[in-house]
Amino acid sequence: MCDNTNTNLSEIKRTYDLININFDAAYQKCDTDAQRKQLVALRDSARDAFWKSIAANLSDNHVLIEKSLNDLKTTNDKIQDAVKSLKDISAFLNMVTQGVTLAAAVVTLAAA
Amino acid sequence: MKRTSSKIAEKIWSKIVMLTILLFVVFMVAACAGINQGSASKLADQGALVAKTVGQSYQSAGDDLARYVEAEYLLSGIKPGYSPPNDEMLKSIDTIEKELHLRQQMFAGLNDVYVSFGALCTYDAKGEVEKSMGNTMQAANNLATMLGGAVSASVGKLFAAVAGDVVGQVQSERIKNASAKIRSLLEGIVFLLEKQNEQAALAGMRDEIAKEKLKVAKYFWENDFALADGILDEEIQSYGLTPKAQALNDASKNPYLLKGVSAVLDWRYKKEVDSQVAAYNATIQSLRTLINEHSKIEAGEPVNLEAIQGYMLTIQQYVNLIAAVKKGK
Repeated sequence: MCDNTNTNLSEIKRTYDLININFDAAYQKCDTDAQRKQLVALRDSARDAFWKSIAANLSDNHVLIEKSLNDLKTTNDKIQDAVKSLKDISAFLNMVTQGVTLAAAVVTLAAA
Repeated sequence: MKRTSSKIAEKIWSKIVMLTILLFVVFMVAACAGINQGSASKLADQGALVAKTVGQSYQSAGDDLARYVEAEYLLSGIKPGYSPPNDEMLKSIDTIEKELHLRQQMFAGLNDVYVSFGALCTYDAKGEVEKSMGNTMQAANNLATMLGGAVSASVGKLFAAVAGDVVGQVQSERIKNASAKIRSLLEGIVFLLEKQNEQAALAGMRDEIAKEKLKVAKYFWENDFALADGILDEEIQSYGLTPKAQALNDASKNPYLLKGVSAVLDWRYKKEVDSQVAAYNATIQSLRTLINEHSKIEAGEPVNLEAIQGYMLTIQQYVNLIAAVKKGK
């Protein structure tokens, strides 16, 4: 249980770090205002999910969390690959959206 | 005949009285020999030092968190696309500050416990020990309640041995009894601190704080809004050199110095993160050492408190690092 809950925290932090550390470069790559707004909103959501997960001090985990967590790990791996080139910013933003949604889901499930 | 019986009874009584006195003396000597009051007193001093230093490290983490929020506001102004903290984030930060404060209260209570344990070793302050242990248990229970039902129940079991009066006929017995109670209290505190996510949450939080502080520092440095006097002065003054005022002013315009100072900032970030991890580990180790030394005190064995000094140095280094950053050194 201890290892799993630590994994929850570390994957949520990984999602946020991937967006936050690469934010300036991704922001530069955005072609439209809509893309920039989307990226800003994603960073905000990832930051909220991160702080919420720290505050909640995740104390529980069950099957649903396990599944969301596995999906989050896979998505984080994809974001990590995509961020290296940032060739297709739209695809990157979609991937990050998926990651942030999953991170928020893990926090909500764990805090329930 | 009657007189002879009376004499025999008198002799028997006198032997009974002698035997009682002898037994009392033997009991007192045995009780006093069981506890080394000097060692117990030293342990009390070290315990108070541990409680105070660990409490300071939680205070530092709280201060650092407040500075992080300011850094986020600052970044929202200076960097495009960065949002200021929103209500949801501030609510989470507020909860974390409360959690850190509960830990501080618990260690302030533990400090009181050790001060009164020290008093018990010198002038038998039984009441003070009982009162301070009650207060610390209350603070720890508040923390356990915030951490959730399962944790609260486990802590309750661990603290069962702490409840009740300090018992014992003589001072040494009371010291032994109080030591056992403090040991149970420490076991409960270690359990709370090792609770599932304590380390991961604190490490994650401190890493994020350090990262954002680095981001602000780098922005100021790379955009020629800051001087690197502190870094450059420190580096060359030990060899008797003083940097030229012009050189300090133009440092960020020199591509080599720009890169070099940025690398120093990265290294300082890494040092801060490493120091935080080491401080957490030293906290747990110092509490475990105290538990071990209490067992020795109770068994009448000599104590070894040298390791605690090393752990305290590690925690103090982290506290000093945060304090230095706070003062802008």
